[in-house]
Amino acid sequence: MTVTSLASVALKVGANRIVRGSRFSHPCGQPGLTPDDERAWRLGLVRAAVGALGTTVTEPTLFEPVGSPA
Amino acid sequence: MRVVHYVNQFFAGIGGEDKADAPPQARPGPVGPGIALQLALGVDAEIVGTVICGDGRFADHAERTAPAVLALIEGFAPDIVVAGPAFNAGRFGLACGRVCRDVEQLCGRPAVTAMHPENAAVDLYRGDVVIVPTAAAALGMQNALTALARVTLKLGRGEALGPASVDGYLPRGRRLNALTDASASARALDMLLTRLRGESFTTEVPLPRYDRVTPPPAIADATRMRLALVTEAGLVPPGNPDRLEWVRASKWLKYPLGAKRDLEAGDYEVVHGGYDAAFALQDPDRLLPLDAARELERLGEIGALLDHYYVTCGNHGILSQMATHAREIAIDLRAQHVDAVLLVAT
Repeated sequence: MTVTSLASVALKVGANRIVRGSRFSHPCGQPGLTPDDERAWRLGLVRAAVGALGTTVTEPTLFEPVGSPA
Repeated sequence: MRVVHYVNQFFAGIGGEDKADAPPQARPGPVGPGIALQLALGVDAEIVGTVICGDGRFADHAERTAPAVLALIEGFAPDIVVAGPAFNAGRFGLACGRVCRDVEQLCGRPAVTAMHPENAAVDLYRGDVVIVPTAAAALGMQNALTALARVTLKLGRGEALGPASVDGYLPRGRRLNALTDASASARALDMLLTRLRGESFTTEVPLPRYDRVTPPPAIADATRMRLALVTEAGLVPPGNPDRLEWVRASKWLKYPLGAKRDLEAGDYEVVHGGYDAAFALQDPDRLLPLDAARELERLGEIGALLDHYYVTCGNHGILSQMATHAREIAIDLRAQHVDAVLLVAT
């Protein structure tokens, strides 16, 4: 699976399991949050990645992590 | 102009599949389709010899056979070598591609072959070898030989080939400089107006074609999976010890994570010309989420994390090169019994 903020690109080039990251320069970070909140957000992101890996897909599919991107 | 022609046992009239083990051999003058090729070439070129090898022999013992074929070709001291046409014959196509590449790279002589665009050899050799497209079967022989003769004469005279679409060969993925009458903006507007009128136009920048990969099945039990972290974000140890390139990366690298639970600022640098790394350098977990992955490992939500991460730089990545990196990384991951990958793309 792939974590990327450029989900539309990933869908177009055919990545099969996509989790939306935050920004292209820090897909797994939320610099605007406090360190604790950022770590909690990242844990949710990686949980979404693990969830995507456990989900059957038949075509490029986008998974949204819990919590809105900054 | 001295031309040497390479054909298989079938076109040389030796026999079919039962003679596919025919060893490399040479005959003076044109043989089989070479006779019609000579007519198409006209008086400026002479097929001085034909080199023949069975398709099975070449396919099964390429490393021994290719040098023997090359030596026979060199014996005729050609100005140019023509192989095929191979149409959609897989083994013959591969032999033609290999012969042409060796002639060019080892002997420094021009070479050209012809085959169907879907011949398996096209993907392998199109970047190195001039390949004239043909029909799928030998019914298209006459057209193939006419087109092949035209390119042969041009290359044999030492002239540079123009664009693939003009000179009639399969694109090699090269860019050629050329002068045009109109600026890029004027040409783009012309193209747009043509399109708006519903007329056909030819793009100057064909979009790359992306493979469709069948999605692998879902992981049945994440609590037992072995997960690897991979990224194209250019995250490397300080000083970039293996000299990863910040653009058009020619390599991928693998670095140990050991027992690290968290990526610390100062332990990494970013080699990537495509984004501002300031936020990532403050906390590299913003690129490679090691802290979160370790936490899921501790909680038992995933089985184990691989003790290395894989990295390249995707900035201006050349599609074919990136595909090669991906294949090589996948082979390495498999060897370490990795079940799944978390790939971070910037």
